[in-house]
Amino acid sequence: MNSKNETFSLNRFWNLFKYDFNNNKLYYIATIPVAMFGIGFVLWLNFPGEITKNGYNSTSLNFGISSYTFPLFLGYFIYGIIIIGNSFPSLKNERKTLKYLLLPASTFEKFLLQWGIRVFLFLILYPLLFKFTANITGDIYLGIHKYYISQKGFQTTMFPEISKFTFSHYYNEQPKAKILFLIVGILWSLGASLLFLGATYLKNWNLFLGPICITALIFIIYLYLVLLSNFINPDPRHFWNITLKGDKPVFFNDEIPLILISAMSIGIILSFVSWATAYYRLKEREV
Amino acid sequence: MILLNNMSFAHKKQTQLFNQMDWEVHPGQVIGLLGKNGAGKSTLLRLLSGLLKPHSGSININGFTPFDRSPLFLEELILLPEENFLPERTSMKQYTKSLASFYPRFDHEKLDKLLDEFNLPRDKKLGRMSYGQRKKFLIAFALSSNCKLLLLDEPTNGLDIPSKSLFRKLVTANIQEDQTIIISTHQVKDVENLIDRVVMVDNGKVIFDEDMLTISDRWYFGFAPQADEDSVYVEKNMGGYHYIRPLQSGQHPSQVSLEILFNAVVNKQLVYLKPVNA
Repeated sequence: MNSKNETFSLNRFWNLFKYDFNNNKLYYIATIPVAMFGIGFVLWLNFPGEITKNGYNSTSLNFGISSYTFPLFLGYFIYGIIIIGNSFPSLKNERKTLKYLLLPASTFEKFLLQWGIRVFLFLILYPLLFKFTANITGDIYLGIHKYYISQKGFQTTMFPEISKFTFSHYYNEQPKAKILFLIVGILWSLGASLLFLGATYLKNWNLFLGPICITALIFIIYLYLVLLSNFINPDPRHFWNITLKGDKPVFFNDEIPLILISAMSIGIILSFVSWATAYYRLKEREV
Repeated sequence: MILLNNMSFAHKKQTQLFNQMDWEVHPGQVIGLLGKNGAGKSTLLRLLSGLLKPHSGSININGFTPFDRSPLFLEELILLPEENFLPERTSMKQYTKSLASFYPRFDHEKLDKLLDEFNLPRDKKLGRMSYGQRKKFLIAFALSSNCKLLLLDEPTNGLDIPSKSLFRKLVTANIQEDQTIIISTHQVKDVENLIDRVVMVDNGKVIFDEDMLTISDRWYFGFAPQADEDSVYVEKNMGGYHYIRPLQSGQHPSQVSLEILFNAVVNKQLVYLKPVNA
């Protein structure tokens, strides 16, 4: 009887990581600078103030922290589709699949590597990368503009402020705010998990993967709200109408609304279901 | 040891390819797996390697069920398909570095020797190598892995004539006692002097399974202007007839002609030559 572990071995996992990196070297190396450039470019276009032929047009609108919210979510969706939607790159065609399935590593190790790199690292790194890029871009932008203005002697009535991006803006010590923050994180994780699962089904059709997953995510949220509406307010009304008063009923010292607790639970459960299905797809894959 | 027990398999939406197939292979043999196009040779190799799941029955290889794809099973298996994926921008050296560590008994010195024998440049990118060169590299890699089971699907396709003979020589020289090599091919001449057991599949069944020594001890393969009266199979060819007849006592065994044997079995002229499951 062989005493080696069939499910997980650190040595095999490391070999698998090296193999994966070797085959996708360019992709991995290019991802972070390209993502930073993309985030920086979008923010640059959105920052206030503009250098024109005739001088400097300032606006009185400051770029507050909440102005970062849309680019933050936009980047999450776009890079999520590109990075997570390309999970299991070795399953994209028959020859690659054959090679990958026969690599001497367990299905769990193969799954874990992809999940770790594509889902976990993405969910951890993307917000950090966004914060870093946003603040660097803001500094460079302000630096260039201030230098330009001082050199040209343009009159600026009000130089707009560009706030530093920070996650604490979205977070405070109120239990409800904590839960909301957590729910956004869980919904991000669910979106990423759906993309991850989709990658095991759609192979080369990633172009459609994003819209499908986003539609699925919106539908899941809508369906959840509809079902909850029907559960809480079972008055005679149209089934698909959402008639929720988000704050009622409440639990835990009358502070946390049911809608938040259940959203969190469903998000967590569906994320796990997506991962388990992706694992099963890989395990049962035939070629 | 490979053991197939009542194994059945069909591709999706297709008629059954293998129907309750039984087969047994002991370690240390080089097996030629022969069959017509579509007979199921490549599918059988995929079933043995765990890429396909039998619909019923079982496959057991050295105590493992292939479709479980246990890493302990996979580190003792190399499948060399007819068309293989190789990363284009990677050199042989880099490829070996990233893959050899998966195989605990991989012999780097042996690989160096084999690459020299095949005259392959180590630093050349795989994408810039010819089809034949890539095939030779993969054969060298497979032999150097020292895996217990090598499944080679049409390994001589794309090889030039000197390389085909070199392939036979290198396989013979490098096979180890506990290794089993199954070579699926329709180019029977390429494996004639290499295999020590011939297995023919047709319509999802093993229709012939015999050691080469037993065949040459029992049958005489000849060529003459006129067919021999005792022949069990005769095939007209340029300048005469190929024939198979029982080996007579005192007669020296002949070289087994796999092509003639294959035609004889497929045309059901040698059905009494130890058919299995027929």
